[in-house]
Amino acid sequence: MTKAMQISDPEEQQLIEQAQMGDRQAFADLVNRHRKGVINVAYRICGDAGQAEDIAQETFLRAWQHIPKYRPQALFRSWLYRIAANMTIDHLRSKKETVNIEMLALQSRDAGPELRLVEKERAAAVQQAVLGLPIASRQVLVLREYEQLSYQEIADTLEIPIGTVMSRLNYARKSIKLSLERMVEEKCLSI
Amino acid sequence: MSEHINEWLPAYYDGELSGLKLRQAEAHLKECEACREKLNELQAISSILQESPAASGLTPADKFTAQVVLRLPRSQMQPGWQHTLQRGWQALPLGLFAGWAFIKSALIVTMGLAAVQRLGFGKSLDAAFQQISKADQIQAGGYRFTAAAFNRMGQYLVGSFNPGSLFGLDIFLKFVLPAAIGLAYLIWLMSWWRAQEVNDYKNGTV
Repeated sequence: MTKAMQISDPEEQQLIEQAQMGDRQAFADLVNRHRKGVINVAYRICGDAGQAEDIAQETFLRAWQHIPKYRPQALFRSWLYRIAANMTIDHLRSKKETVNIEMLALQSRDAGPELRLVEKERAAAVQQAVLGLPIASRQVLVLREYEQLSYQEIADTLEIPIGTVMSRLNYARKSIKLSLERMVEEKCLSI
Repeated sequence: MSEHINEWLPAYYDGELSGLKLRQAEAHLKECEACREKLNELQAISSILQESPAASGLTPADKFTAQVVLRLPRSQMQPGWQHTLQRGWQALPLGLFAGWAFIKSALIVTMGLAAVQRLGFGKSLDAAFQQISKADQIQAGGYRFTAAAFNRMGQYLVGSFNPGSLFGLDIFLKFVLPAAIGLAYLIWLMSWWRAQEVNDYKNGTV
Protein backbone atom coordinates (compact mmCIF):
# COMPACT_ATOMS: atom_id res chain seq x y z
CA MET A 1 0.00 0.00 0.00
CA THR A 2 1.41 3.37 -1.02
CA LYS A 3 1.70 6.34 1.29
CA ALA A 4 -0.96 8.16 -0.75
CA MET A 5 -3.44 5.31 -0.32
CA GLN A 6 -2.83 5.18 3.43
CA ILE A 7 -3.68 8.81 3.97
CA SER A 8 -6.39 9.33 1.34
CA ASP A 9 -9.76 10.48 2.61
CA PRO A 10 -12.35 7.68 2.07
CA GLU A 11 -15.11 10.21 1.34
CA GLU A 12 -12.94 11.88 -1.27
CA GLN A 13 -12.03 8.50 -2.71
CA GLN A 14 -15.72 7.76 -3.14
CA LEU A 15 -16.28 11.10 -4.88
CA ILE A 16 -13.37 10.36 -7.21
CA GLU A 17 -14.82 6.95 -8.09
CA GLN A 18 -18.23 8.49 -8.78
CA ALA A 19 -16.64 11.21 -10.92
CA GLN A 20 -14.76 8.52 -12.83
CA MET A 21 -18.14 7.02 -13.70
CA GLY A 22 -19.25 10.40 -15.09
CA ASP A 23 -21.05 11.77 -11.99
CA ARG A 24 -20.96 15.57 -12.39
CA GLN A 25 -22.27 16.30 -8.90
CA ALA A 26 -19.45 14.27 -7.35
CA PHE A 27 -16.98 16.19 -9.49
CA ALA A 28 -18.56 19.48 -8.40
CA ASP A 29 -17.93 18.44 -4.77
CA LEU A 30 -14.30 17.76 -5.65
CA VAL A 31 -14.06 21.20 -7.29
CA ASN A 32 -15.45 22.77 -4.09
CA ARG A 33 -12.90 20.93 -1.98
CA HIS A 34 -9.86 21.86 -4.06
CA ARG A 35 -10.84 25.19 -5.61
CA LYS A 36 -8.94 27.31 -3.11
CA GLY A 37 -5.73 25.25 -3.27
CA VAL A 38 -5.68 25.11 -7.08
CA ILE A 39 -6.29 28.87 -7.42
CA ASN A 40 -3.61 29.53 -4.81
CA VAL A 41 -1.01 27.41 -6.59
CA ALA A 42 -1.72 29.15 -9.90
CA TYR A 43 -1.80 32.60 -8.26
CA ARG A 44 1.46 32.18 -6.38
CA ILE A 45 3.21 30.97 -9.54
CA CYS A 46 1.78 33.51 -12.00
CA GLY A 47 1.05 36.45 -9.66
CA ASP A 48 -2.30 37.43 -11.18
CA ALA A 49 -5.59 36.57 -9.44
CA GLY A 50 -7.76 36.80 -12.58
CA GLN A 51 -5.45 34.62 -14.61
CA ALA A 52 -5.11 32.20 -11.70
CA GLU A 53 -8.88 31.75 -11.64
CA ASP A 54 -8.98 31.09 -15.40
CA ILE A 55 -6.13 28.60 -15.04
CA ALA A 56 -7.98 26.90 -12.15
CA GLN A 57 -11.09 26.51 -14.32
CA GLU A 58 -9.04 25.01 -17.14
CA THR A 59 -7.33 22.74 -14.60
CA PHE A 60 -10.66 21.33 -13.44
CA LEU A 61 -11.88 20.88 -17.02
CA ARG A 62 -8.76 18.93 -17.86
CA ALA A 63 -9.07 16.97 -14.63
CA TRP A 64 -12.65 15.98 -15.57
CA GLN A 65 -11.53 14.69 -18.95
CA HIS A 66 -8.65 12.70 -17.49
CA ILE A 67 -10.18 11.55 -14.20
CA PRO A 68 -11.04 8.05 -15.55
CA LYS A 69 -7.27 7.54 -15.88
CA TYR A 70 -6.49 8.79 -12.36
CA ARG A 71 -5.10 6.07 -10.07
CA PRO A 72 -4.54 6.73 -6.35
CA GLN A 73 -0.77 6.24 -6.50
CA ALA A 74 -0.45 9.95 -5.67
CA LEU A 75 -2.86 12.08 -3.68
CA PHE A 76 -5.71 13.55 -5.70
CA ARG A 77 -4.59 17.00 -4.51
CA SER A 78 -1.08 16.36 -5.86
CA TRP A 79 -2.55 15.22 -9.17
CA LEU A 80 -4.63 18.41 -9.43
CA TYR A 81 -1.69 20.61 -8.46
CA ARG A 82 0.42 18.95 -11.11
CA ILE A 83 -2.14 19.86 -13.76
CA ALA A 84 -2.45 23.39 -12.34
CA ALA A 85 1.33 23.92 -12.18
CA ASN A 86 1.80 22.68 -15.75
CA MET A 87 -1.06 24.83 -17.03
CA THR A 88 0.36 27.87 -15.25
CA ILE A 89 3.76 27.27 -16.82
CA ASP A 90 2.15 26.90 -20.26
CA HIS A 91 0.28 30.12 -19.61
CA LEU A 92 3.44 31.97 -18.54
CA ARG A 93 5.35 30.65 -21.55
CA SER A 94 2.60 31.72 -23.92
CA LYS A 95 2.75 35.20 -22.36
CA LYS A 96 6.58 34.98 -22.27
CA GLU A 97 6.31 35.58 -18.53
CA THR A 98 6.15 39.34 -18.82
CA VAL A 99 5.36 40.09 -15.19
CA ASN A 100 5.79 43.82 -14.97
CA ILE A 101 7.24 44.46 -11.55
CA GLU A 102 6.41 48.20 -11.63
CA MET A 103 2.81 47.41 -12.54
CA LEU A 104 2.73 44.86 -9.76
CA ALA A 105 3.56 47.53 -7.19
CA LEU A 106 0.95 49.87 -8.68
CA GLN A 107 -1.70 47.13 -8.73
CA SER A 108 -0.86 46.34 -5.16
CA ARG A 109 -1.36 49.96 -4.15
CA ASP A 110 -4.79 49.88 -5.76
CA ALA A 111 -5.63 46.47 -4.39
CA GLY A 112 -8.02 47.56 -1.68
CA PRO A 113 -8.48 50.06 1.10
CA GLU A 114 -8.06 47.45 3.85
CA LEU A 115 -4.26 47.32 3.56
CA ARG A 116 -2.09 50.18 4.64
CA LEU A 117 0.51 51.52 2.21
CA VAL A 118 3.47 49.89 4.00
CA GLU A 119 1.77 46.53 4.02
CA LYS A 120 0.95 46.89 0.37
CA GLU A 121 4.55 47.65 -0.44
CA ARG A 122 5.73 44.73 1.63
CA ALA A 123 3.25 42.43 -0.12
CA ALA A 124 4.41 43.72 -3.51
CA ALA A 125 8.06 43.15 -2.53
CA VAL A 126 7.31 39.58 -1.44
CA GLN A 127 5.39 38.84 -4.61
CA GLN A 128 8.17 40.38 -6.64
CA ALA A 129 10.75 38.18 -4.89
CA VAL A 130 8.68 35.03 -5.52
CA LEU A 131 7.97 35.90 -9.15
CA GLY A 132 11.66 36.67 -9.65
CA LEU A 133 12.53 33.03 -8.99
CA PRO A 134 13.03 30.57 -11.86
CA ILE A 135 9.78 28.70 -12.51
CA ALA A 136 11.15 25.34 -11.34
CA SER A 137 12.18 26.70 -7.92
CA ARG A 138 9.03 28.82 -7.67
CA GLN A 139 6.79 25.78 -8.10
CA VAL A 140 8.57 23.90 -5.31
CA LEU A 141 8.52 26.92 -2.98
CA VAL A 142 4.81 27.53 -3.61
CA LEU A 143 3.85 23.91 -2.96
CA ARG A 144 5.91 23.79 0.24
CA GLU A 145 5.33 27.22 1.76
CA TYR A 146 1.76 27.95 0.68
CA GLU A 147 0.25 24.49 0.32
CA GLN A 148 2.34 22.74 3.00
CA LEU A 149 3.01 19.70 0.81
CA SER A 150 5.64 17.25 2.07
CA TYR A 151 8.79 16.66 0.01
CA GLN A 152 7.34 13.36 -1.19
CA GLU A 153 4.09 15.00 -2.26
CA ILE A 154 6.00 17.74 -4.10
CA ALA A 155 8.11 15.08 -5.79
CA ASP A 156 4.92 13.23 -6.84
CA THR A 157 3.25 16.43 -7.98
CA LEU A 158 6.11 17.68 -10.12
CA GLU A 159 7.42 14.20 -11.01
CA ILE A 160 10.95 15.01 -9.84
CA PRO A 161 13.24 13.21 -7.34
CA ILE A 162 13.15 14.25 -3.66
CA GLY A 163 16.79 15.39 -3.93
CA THR A 164 15.76 17.84 -6.64
CA VAL A 165 12.88 19.06 -4.45
CA MET A 166 15.36 19.78 -1.65
CA SER A 167 17.90 21.55 -3.84
CA ARG A 168 15.27 23.69 -5.56
CA LEU A 169 13.69 24.59 -2.24
CA ASN A 170 17.06 25.56 -0.77
CA TYR A 171 17.84 27.67 -3.81
CA ALA A 172 14.44 29.38 -3.63
CA ARG A 173 14.79 30.16 0.08
CA LYS A 174 18.30 31.53 -0.36
CA SER A 175 17.12 33.75 -3.21
CA ILE A 176 14.16 34.98 -1.18
CA LYS A 177 16.48 35.73 1.74
CA LEU A 178 18.74 37.76 -0.55
CA SER A 179 15.83 39.66 -2.10
CA LEU A 180 14.12 40.41 1.22
CA GLU A 181 17.19 40.68 3.43
CA ARG A 182 15.98 43.56 5.59
CA MET A 183 12.53 42.07 5.99
CA VAL A 184 14.02 38.71 7.03
CA GLU A 185 16.32 40.38 9.57
CA GLU A 186 13.41 42.29 11.10
CA LYS A 187 11.35 39.13 11.22
CA CYS A 188 14.17 37.17 12.86
CA LEU A 189 14.27 39.74 15.66
CA SER A 190 10.53 39.49 16.21
CA ILE A 191 10.45 35.67 16.37
CA MET B 1 28.03 16.21 16.92
CA SER B 2 30.22 19.24 16.31
CA GLU B 3 29.79 19.91 12.55
CA HIS B 4 27.03 22.29 11.46
CA ILE B 5 23.92 20.72 9.99
CA ASN B 6 23.44 23.17 7.11
CA GLU B 7 22.65 20.37 4.71
CA TRP B 8 19.88 18.89 6.88
CA LEU B 9 18.56 22.05 8.49
CA PRO B 10 15.84 22.79 5.86
CA ALA B 11 14.66 19.17 6.04
CA TYR B 12 14.60 19.42 9.85
CA TYR B 13 12.64 22.66 9.64
CA ASP B 14 10.14 21.12 7.19
CA GLY B 15 9.59 18.13 9.50
CA GLU B 16 11.15 15.71 7.03
CA LEU B 17 13.74 14.17 9.35
CA SER B 18 13.16 11.08 11.44
CA GLY B 19 15.07 8.58 13.56
CA LEU B 20 18.77 9.08 14.13
CA LYS B 21 19.07 12.14 11.87
CA LEU B 22 16.28 13.89 13.76
CA ARG B 23 17.89 13.18 17.14
CA GLN B 24 21.29 14.33 15.85
CA ALA B 25 19.80 17.56 14.49
CA GLU B 26 17.96 18.26 17.75
CA ALA B 27 21.10 17.61 19.82
CA HIS B 28 23.18 19.84 17.56
CA LEU B 29 20.67 22.70 17.65
CA LYS B 30 20.74 22.68 21.46
CA GLU B 31 24.42 23.55 21.47
CA CYS B 32 24.93 25.48 18.20
CA GLU B 33 23.95 29.15 18.12
CA ALA B 34 24.82 29.57 14.39
CA CYS B 35 22.49 26.75 13.33
CA ARG B 36 19.71 28.10 15.56
CA GLU B 37 20.05 31.43 13.78
CA LYS B 38 19.77 29.72 10.42
CA LEU B 39 16.67 27.90 11.64
CA ASN B 40 15.27 31.27 12.72
CA GLU B 41 15.86 32.61 9.21
CA LEU B 42 13.93 29.74 7.70
CA GLN B 43 11.04 30.47 10.06
CA ALA B 44 11.21 34.16 9.16
CA ILE B 45 11.10 33.41 5.41
CA SER B 46 8.06 31.15 5.89
CA SER B 47 6.26 33.77 7.99
CA ILE B 48 6.93 36.52 5.45
CA LEU B 49 5.71 34.37 2.56
CA GLN B 50 2.60 33.19 4.38
CA GLU B 51 1.71 36.69 5.53
CA SER B 52 1.59 37.94 1.95
CA PRO B 53 -2.08 38.23 0.98
CA ALA B 54 -3.78 35.53 -1.05
CA ALA B 55 -5.54 36.27 -4.34
CA SER B 56 -8.37 38.74 -3.79
CA GLY B 57 -11.54 39.60 -5.70
CA LEU B 58 -12.17 35.98 -6.64
CA THR B 59 -15.46 34.58 -7.92
CA PRO B 60 -17.52 33.15 -5.01
CA ALA B 61 -16.95 29.42 -4.52
CA ASP B 62 -20.45 28.26 -5.57
CA LYS B 63 -20.39 30.44 -8.68
CA PHE B 64 -16.91 29.19 -9.61
CA THR B 65 -18.03 25.57 -9.23
CA ALA B 66 -21.19 26.21 -11.26
CA GLN B 67 -19.10 27.78 -14.02
CA VAL B 68 -16.79 24.77 -14.09
CA VAL B 69 -19.67 22.26 -14.12
CA LEU B 70 -21.39 24.15 -16.96
CA ARG B 71 -18.23 23.95 -19.02
CA LEU B 72 -17.60 20.24 -18.40
CA PRO B 73 -17.45 18.36 -21.72
CA ARG B 74 -19.97 15.54 -22.12
CA SER B 75 -17.34 12.90 -22.65
CA GLN B 76 -14.41 11.86 -20.52
CA MET B 77 -11.28 10.13 -21.74
CA GLN B 78 -11.49 6.37 -21.44
CA PRO B 79 -8.91 4.46 -19.37
CA GLY B 80 -6.08 3.01 -21.48
CA TRP B 81 -7.40 -0.54 -21.99
CA GLN B 82 -10.94 0.65 -22.82
CA HIS B 83 -9.50 3.12 -25.31
CA THR B 84 -7.42 0.41 -26.97
CA LEU B 85 -10.44 -1.93 -27.07
CA GLN B 86 -12.57 0.81 -28.63
CA ARG B 87 -9.89 1.55 -31.25
CA GLY B 88 -9.59 -2.18 -31.99
CA TRP B 89 -13.36 -2.46 -32.46
CA GLN B 90 -13.38 0.56 -34.77
CA ALA B 91 -10.59 -0.97 -36.87
CA LEU B 92 -12.35 -4.35 -37.13
CA PRO B 93 -13.50 -3.96 -40.79
CA LEU B 94 -9.92 -3.23 -41.79
CA GLY B 95 -8.81 -6.35 -39.90
CA LEU B 96 -11.46 -8.46 -41.62
CA PHE B 97 -10.40 -7.19 -45.03
CA ALA B 98 -6.72 -7.79 -44.23
CA GLY B 99 -7.53 -11.34 -43.03
CA TRP B 100 -9.52 -12.08 -46.16
CA ALA B 101 -6.78 -10.65 -48.39
CA PHE B 102 -4.14 -12.71 -46.56
CA ILE B 103 -6.08 -15.98 -46.96
CA LYS B 104 -6.70 -15.26 -50.64
CA SER B 105 -3.01 -14.47 -51.27
CA ALA B 106 -1.92 -17.56 -49.35
CA LEU B 107 -4.29 -19.63 -51.45
CA ILE B 108 -2.96 -18.21 -54.72
CA VAL B 109 0.65 -18.85 -53.68
CA THR B 110 -0.23 -22.38 -52.52
CA MET B 111 -2.02 -23.19 -55.76
CA GLY B 112 0.91 -21.77 -57.71
CA LEU B 113 3.37 -23.95 -55.80
CA ALA B 114 1.23 -27.03 -56.36
CA ALA B 115 0.99 -26.26 -60.09
CA VAL B 116 4.77 -25.77 -60.36
CA GLN B 117 5.37 -29.06 -58.57
CA ARG B 118 2.98 -30.89 -60.91
CA LEU B 119 5.04 -29.61 -63.84
CA GLY B 120 8.19 -31.07 -62.20
CA PHE B 121 10.00 -27.73 -61.88
CA GLY B 122 10.90 -28.23 -58.20
CA LYS B 123 12.56 -31.61 -58.86
CA SER B 124 14.65 -30.32 -61.76
CA LEU B 125 15.84 -27.34 -59.69
CA ASP B 126 16.90 -29.64 -56.84
CA ALA B 127 18.67 -32.00 -59.29
CA ALA B 128 20.57 -29.08 -60.83
CA PHE B 129 22.04 -28.26 -57.44
CA GLN B 130 23.15 -31.89 -56.96
CA GLN B 131 25.31 -31.62 -60.10
CA ILE B 132 27.32 -28.50 -59.24
CA SER B 133 30.70 -28.66 -57.40
CA LYS B 134 30.99 -28.94 -53.59
CA ALA B 135 32.42 -25.41 -53.17
CA ASP B 136 29.67 -23.95 -55.29
CA GLN B 137 27.15 -25.91 -53.24
CA ILE B 138 28.45 -24.30 -50.06
CA GLN B 139 28.40 -20.89 -51.70
CA ALA B 140 24.96 -21.52 -53.04
CA GLY B 141 23.84 -23.24 -49.84
CA GLY B 142 21.02 -20.80 -49.32
CA TYR B 143 19.67 -21.30 -52.80
CA ARG B 144 19.96 -25.07 -52.49
CA PHE B 145 18.07 -25.06 -49.24
CA THR B 146 15.38 -22.92 -50.79
CA ALA B 147 15.10 -25.18 -53.80
CA ALA B 148 14.88 -28.30 -51.59
CA ALA B 149 12.27 -26.69 -49.37
CA PHE B 150 10.35 -25.57 -52.44
CA ASN B 151 10.46 -29.10 -53.81
CA ARG B 152 9.26 -30.70 -50.56
CA MET B 153 6.50 -28.18 -50.05
CA GLY B 154 5.27 -28.76 -53.57
CA GLN B 155 5.32 -32.53 -53.04
CA TYR B 156 3.37 -32.15 -49.84
CA LEU B 157 0.79 -29.92 -51.46
CA VAL B 158 0.28 -32.21 -54.40
CA GLY B 159 0.10 -35.24 -52.10
CA SER B 160 -2.35 -33.71 -49.68
CA PHE B 161 -4.64 -32.02 -52.19
CA ASN B 162 -6.71 -34.93 -53.35
CA PRO B 163 -9.91 -34.05 -55.21
CA GLY B 164 -11.99 -34.61 -52.03
CA SER B 165 -10.08 -32.21 -49.84
CA LEU B 166 -9.76 -29.71 -52.67
CA PHE B 167 -13.52 -29.75 -52.97
CA GLY B 168 -13.82 -29.10 -49.18
CA LEU B 169 -11.27 -26.30 -49.38
CA ASP B 170 -13.07 -24.81 -52.33
CA ILE B 171 -16.38 -24.83 -50.43
CA PHE B 172 -14.69 -23.27 -47.42
CA LEU B 173 -12.98 -20.52 -49.40
CA LYS B 174 -15.87 -19.73 -51.70
CA PHE B 175 -18.77 -19.87 -49.23
CA VAL B 176 -17.90 -20.35 -45.55
CA LEU B 177 -15.11 -17.78 -45.31
CA PRO B 178 -16.91 -14.93 -47.16
CA ALA B 179 -20.08 -15.72 -45.16
CA ALA B 180 -18.17 -15.57 -41.83
CA ILE B 181 -16.45 -12.33 -42.80
CA GLY B 182 -19.74 -10.86 -44.04
CA LEU B 183 -21.51 -11.85 -40.81
CA ALA B 184 -18.76 -10.32 -38.65
CA TYR B 185 -18.95 -7.12 -40.71
CA LEU B 186 -22.76 -7.06 -40.35
CA ILE B 187 -22.48 -7.42 -36.55
CA TRP B 188 -19.91 -4.64 -36.47
CA LEU B 189 -22.13 -2.41 -38.64
CA MET B 190 -25.14 -2.98 -36.35
CA SER B 191 -23.09 -2.26 -33.24
CA TRP B 192 -21.65 0.91 -34.83
CA TRP B 193 -25.14 2.06 -35.81
CA ARG B 194 -26.38 1.42 -32.25
CA ALA B 195 -23.42 3.33 -30.76
CA GLN B 196 -24.15 6.26 -33.08
CA GLU B 197 -27.79 6.30 -31.91
CA VAL B 198 -26.69 6.31 -28.24
CA ASN B 199 -24.19 9.15 -28.91
CA ASP B 200 -26.84 11.20 -30.72
CA TYR B 201 -29.19 10.69 -27.79
CA LYS B 202 -26.49 11.69 -25.26
CA ASN B 203 -25.54 14.77 -27.27
CA GLY B 204 -29.18 15.78 -27.52
CA THR B 205 -29.19 15.77 -31.32
CA VAL B 206 -32.18 13.37 -31.45
